[in-house]
Amino acid sequence: MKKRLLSLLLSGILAAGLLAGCGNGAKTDGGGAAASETAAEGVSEVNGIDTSTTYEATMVLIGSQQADQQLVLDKINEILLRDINTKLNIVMLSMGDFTTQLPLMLQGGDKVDLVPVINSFAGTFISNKMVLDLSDYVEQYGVNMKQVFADMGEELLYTGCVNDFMFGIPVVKGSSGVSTICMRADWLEEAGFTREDIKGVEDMDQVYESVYANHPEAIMMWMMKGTQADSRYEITDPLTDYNGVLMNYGEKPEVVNYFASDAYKELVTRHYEWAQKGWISKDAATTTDQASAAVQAGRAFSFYTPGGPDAEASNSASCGTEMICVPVTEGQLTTTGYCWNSWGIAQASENPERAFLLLDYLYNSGEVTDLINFGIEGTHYVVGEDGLYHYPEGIDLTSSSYTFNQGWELPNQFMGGIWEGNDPDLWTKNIEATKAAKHSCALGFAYDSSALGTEIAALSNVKSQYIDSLNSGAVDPETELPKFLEELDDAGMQKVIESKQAQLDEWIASK
Amino acid sequence: MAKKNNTLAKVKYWMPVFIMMLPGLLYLFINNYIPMGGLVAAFKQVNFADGIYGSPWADPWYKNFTYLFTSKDALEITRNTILYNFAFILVNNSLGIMIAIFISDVQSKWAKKVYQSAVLFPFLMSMVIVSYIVFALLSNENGMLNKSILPLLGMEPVSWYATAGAWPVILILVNFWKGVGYGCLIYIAAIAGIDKAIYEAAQIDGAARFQLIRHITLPSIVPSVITLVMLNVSKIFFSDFGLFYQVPQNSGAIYATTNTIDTYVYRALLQQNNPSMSAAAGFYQSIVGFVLVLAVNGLVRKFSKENALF
Repeated sequence: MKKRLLSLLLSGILAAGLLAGCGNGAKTDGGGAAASETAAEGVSEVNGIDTSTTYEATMVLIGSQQADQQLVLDKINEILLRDINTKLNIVMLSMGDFTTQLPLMLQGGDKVDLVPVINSFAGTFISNKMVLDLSDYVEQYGVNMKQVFADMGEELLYTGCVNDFMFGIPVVKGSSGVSTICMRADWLEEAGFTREDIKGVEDMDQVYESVYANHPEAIMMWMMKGTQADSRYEITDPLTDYNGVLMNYGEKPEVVNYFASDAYKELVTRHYEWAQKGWISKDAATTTDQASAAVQAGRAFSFYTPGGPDAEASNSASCGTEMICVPVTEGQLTTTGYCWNSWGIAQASENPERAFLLLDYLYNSGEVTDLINFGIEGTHYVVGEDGLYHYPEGIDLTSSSYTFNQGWELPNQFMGGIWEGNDPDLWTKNIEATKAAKHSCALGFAYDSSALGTEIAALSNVKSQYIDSLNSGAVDPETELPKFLEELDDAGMQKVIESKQAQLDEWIASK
Repeated sequence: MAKKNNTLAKVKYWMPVFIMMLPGLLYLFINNYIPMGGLVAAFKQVNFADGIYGSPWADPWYKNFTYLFTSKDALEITRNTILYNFAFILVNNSLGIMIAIFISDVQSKWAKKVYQSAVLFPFLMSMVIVSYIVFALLSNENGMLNKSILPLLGMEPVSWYATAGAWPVILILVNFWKGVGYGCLIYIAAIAGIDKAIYEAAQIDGAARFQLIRHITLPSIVPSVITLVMLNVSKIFFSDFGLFYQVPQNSGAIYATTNTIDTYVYRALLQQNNPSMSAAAGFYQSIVGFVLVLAVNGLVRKFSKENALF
């Protein structure tokens, strides 16, 4: 009997433990409700929005939690409370978690206000009603952002729309959209060439020939799975997904199948020839090794990469040797290229007006931008005589307690400072390159594919079956390209193109 | 009255056991039964503002399922999934039994443990690691086969990741190498449970080793075999995602023989992020798995009733 009592007790404890375990799953407080304390110094109205009570806003950033996060946040909140009576919370998600966790946060109704929207997810965010339509907010309250974009091109502000639904405000950035081939400077010189000798991709044959003679073990053109020339050698406006594109940098509003074009055939034929000569790795269709790592290891000579004013500096840094980046396409400006990442407001936001006010404020605040990006001046960075930002004496990347440095995702990094190792005129140069780029006639248009889910799914599969091997020259385009095109047709390419064309025509007519 | 007392006594007697079962049942209920409500997502146009249950119904009701059946890949992925699993069940179980018998016959206790662990070890490895072991063997540029072994035999290098025909063999081998240890372990346990006296009696009657295996070992482990096979059959419409996605390095040129339902759904919805369509795929796989388990159990019951699971 004693034994039985004991076992009863034990199993009871087990069951209780299980229930307790469930209870502990409650999530930690992500942001807290909007505090209702009134502001000490009282800004009761900004841009026509009532700010008499303090609002706590939560912002999601892609990056890792910083040691001095709270210290920096306190500083930021001093400024924000003074100007717009708002308190900021920051939730950091790593890039890997971001794509899975953000949708969960949005659908779970977590308290979030400002969220980064990557444009390939925009369609899902809209059809699943995860973010708000910002069109009215921009018209009514978008004072700073309108001003910022007026200079670079007003239409850029509206690149975050699908079917009049504005899912986000694009971050301010330079988008020259030019594709380059980036080469080791020392090997190029050794072969007797300079950057002036290369006018386009057709000049690469002779370069590779000579360099290959000097370095027969190395791969001349490094490619890896998923980032083939398709997304690196850009001569079209891809209209989000390459299922129907505008040729020639979006010259005419005529949607065509890129893969059936002469330009694509020429591209894959050229790569096939390169692969036959051993200039492209036989593993290019499957490898996931980064080009920069391959160059650093002395295994590769060159690769395709997006250009821009800082391309040579950043590639030289990541490859550990001096690189020369030669443009092989013209600069272009497309919706897909410009609006790669933008800032949206979550459906679950408790006060979208106040969240929008904060967002608009960030577009025009160098002070807050620098705080989020680099930390506190004097503690985490100092401004050098050249105007660039440096680590303070005795502190470096590994010892600093605030190393966020992700300006690309902040609303307007052009308001902030420039880190050492970059061109001091980087922002101006970026703006100039953007203005000079060829503007696609569909700039501002984004395709809404939600009605054709079945076709898009089938096309994704066909593309992932063929694109890697065709683009890396692993298979003969004479035999494989026709098969690819036939399967695209079977998967419903024509239907998607027609619907895209119809949406584009409608969009143009409505302008 | 006496009968009632009897029941009460029975309940009282077994009570501790029921309470001990409670945590397990609760776990099963929370983890396996409550989420089933989510299956309704397969018939909805899910959006997160309204939640799964508040979202509008799909129109027509099979809308989320069409992408699985309309493309010309539908036949290919179904064929691959079923044939591969069929081969896996056959190869892993038959060879697993064989290895289990060999290991059980080893006399030295120490050697037995070593063999057992060695066979099980690959099972504990992550598929990503397995995929790189395979890559080290098969890489077009630097693989051991292409670099050392084939030239030694005077043969031309083969670009494995573009040769669809070779993959059925490669995948069955990899799956065997990785998975055989697990089934083997269960068979070893089953064999250890056979009464040694039966063997001794048979030996006295002059039975040879092969006869011992055929007439004593094999019949005795039939229930374990049936349980394991049935578990596998219920998963015949699912595929090991790691095996079919990581090991072939997601190489497009060999989809013809490596594409299964799971990898197809993954690739199709990777960009769309559509919860309704992926729920539809899961629903379809579960229904087919359920029907197959019922069918196989029915068959077993027909031929040997005592071995059926239910």
